[in-house]
Amino acid sequence: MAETLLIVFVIFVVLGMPIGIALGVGALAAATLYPALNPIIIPTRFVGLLSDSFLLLAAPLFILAGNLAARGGVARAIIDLATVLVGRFRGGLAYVNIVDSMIFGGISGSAVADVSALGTFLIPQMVRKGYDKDFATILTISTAIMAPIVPPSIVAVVYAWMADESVAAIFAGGYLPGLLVGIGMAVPTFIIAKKRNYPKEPPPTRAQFMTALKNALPAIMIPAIIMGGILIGWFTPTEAAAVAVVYALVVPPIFYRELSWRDMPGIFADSARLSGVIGLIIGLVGAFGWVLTYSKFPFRVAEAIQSVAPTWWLFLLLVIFLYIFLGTFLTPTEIILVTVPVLLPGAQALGIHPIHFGMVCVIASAVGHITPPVGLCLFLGMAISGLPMEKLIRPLLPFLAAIVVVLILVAFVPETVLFIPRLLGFVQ
Amino acid sequence: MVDAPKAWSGAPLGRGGTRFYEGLGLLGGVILAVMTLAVFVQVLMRFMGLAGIDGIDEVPRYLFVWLVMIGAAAAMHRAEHTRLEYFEQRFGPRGQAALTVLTNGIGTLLFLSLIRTSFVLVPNSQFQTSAGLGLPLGYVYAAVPVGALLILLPMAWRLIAALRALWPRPS
Repeated sequence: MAETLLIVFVIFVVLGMPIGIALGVGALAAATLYPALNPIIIPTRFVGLLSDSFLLLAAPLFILAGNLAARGGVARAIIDLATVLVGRFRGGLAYVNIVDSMIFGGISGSAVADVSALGTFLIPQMVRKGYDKDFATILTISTAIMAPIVPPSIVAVVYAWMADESVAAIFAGGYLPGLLVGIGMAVPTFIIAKKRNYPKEPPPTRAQFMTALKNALPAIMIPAIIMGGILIGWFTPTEAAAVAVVYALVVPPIFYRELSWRDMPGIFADSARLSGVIGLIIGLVGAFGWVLTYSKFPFRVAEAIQSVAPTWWLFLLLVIFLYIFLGTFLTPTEIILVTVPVLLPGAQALGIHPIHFGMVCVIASAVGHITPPVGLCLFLGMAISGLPMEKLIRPLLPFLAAIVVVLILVAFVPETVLFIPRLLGFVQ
Repeated sequence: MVDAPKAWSGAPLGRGGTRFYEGLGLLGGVILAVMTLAVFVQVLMRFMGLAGIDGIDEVPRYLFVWLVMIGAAAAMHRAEHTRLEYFEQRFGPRGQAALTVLTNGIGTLLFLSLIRTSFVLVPNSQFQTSAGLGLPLGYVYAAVPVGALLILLPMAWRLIAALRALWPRPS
């Protein structure tokens, strides 16, 4: 039964069917071929999953908040702040790019929003100042993967919902790995900047520093409100997302004046369509997951994994390889939705903490954003810079290697994820 | 190299269809705005020390089902659903048309099945009401057949356009 479902799903994904629909077709095939199942399970699970969880509402609301912030002038203020912070070093704008992505990821939660909002400013600016175009493009798309790692990450919300874990815990668990990815990106940047003698930005005066900080304050208040509100216990993650939407609607337009009321219908419609794409996958994964569970497939996989990978670290290594492979043709949310119900029982049986496992899954799935043939950020970077894919593959390698090294470090040292959630009392 | 435009990759259902599905996207945006408002009002009332409105938490949860179906339909018209194009692009124009017929044909069956099962599900769930608002749940389940029909139309259009590309009418 589970085999039919998975074979049908994989065949239709390969043939080019949208992922969400392929999930539903797999479930329909299983329900048609096996009399024990009834196709009515598909709409029942669909509505049940989407309407039963208040937590899941955080996903469309964070998408909306991110879109509003991305088009509301927040990006420019953050670039100015990062420039006064790290611009003075050799290859200063490259470090600005890294710091920007770290801060902007804490606002948008989306790697794609990060590349669109920051790349359109930073790539031309870096090229004008003498940086190689392929380097500027690859750095922008590589650093964007911090967005799904640092809170508020939409992928982390989806994982927490699937694994029935605390969103606050997985959000808190994303800070150190996000920082490590940032440091990882800085290593090849340092070597390349030195080798190619990239320029430095003039050191800022005290007045310039204060102005940049003051201008960026309305923008950096967004992650502060989201995480502060959740950690203090003022809001649930869904409520924090709604507060972030209202804040992004009111405050940045007043300070930055880049968002007009005429832009609003388009932003809301874009967010609705993206929520529809993700929601259709979530709803149809309901019946898909139900068939898998009904046929005890996750437990069979857990048993098989324990025989192939009897230790937790070998298991995580296999998961990383699997996710990097799946990331070449699926988006992070899709990978999490399809694999977590199957892999989580195996991880728990090996004593891996679900928050640690979740963060490894989030980072490993995010790698797919930048790998060909269907890395969304890679395509966006190509569109912004006008460079073809073949010119970007070689410059991508050192950054990809840095991400994989950080990923392995995070997988093998659980405290890199669990330290902050433990400190805040989310994890025992 | 720029690929020649494919008959089935244009905007489905003509100019009227484009206007209708762009309108659906905006309707999805309105639903999203109402969901945000419903959640924000709960936060605001709690901070003001006011008693919450009974059942208001059900508003965004049930609207989410409608948002997903309406948003997914608007995205289907724009072909924004994520899919793997890598292998499809290895084929020539006729191979690609055949794959479009296959994937859209099978996808159409899924949405027809959702509509068919909804004939049982929606009337039955109309007898159940939600705990807070007392809303008959048929209104929530109705999002499935309505959305499925809206998703199905652009898919069927692409299916027919690809069939025509495979077997053009003799002129």
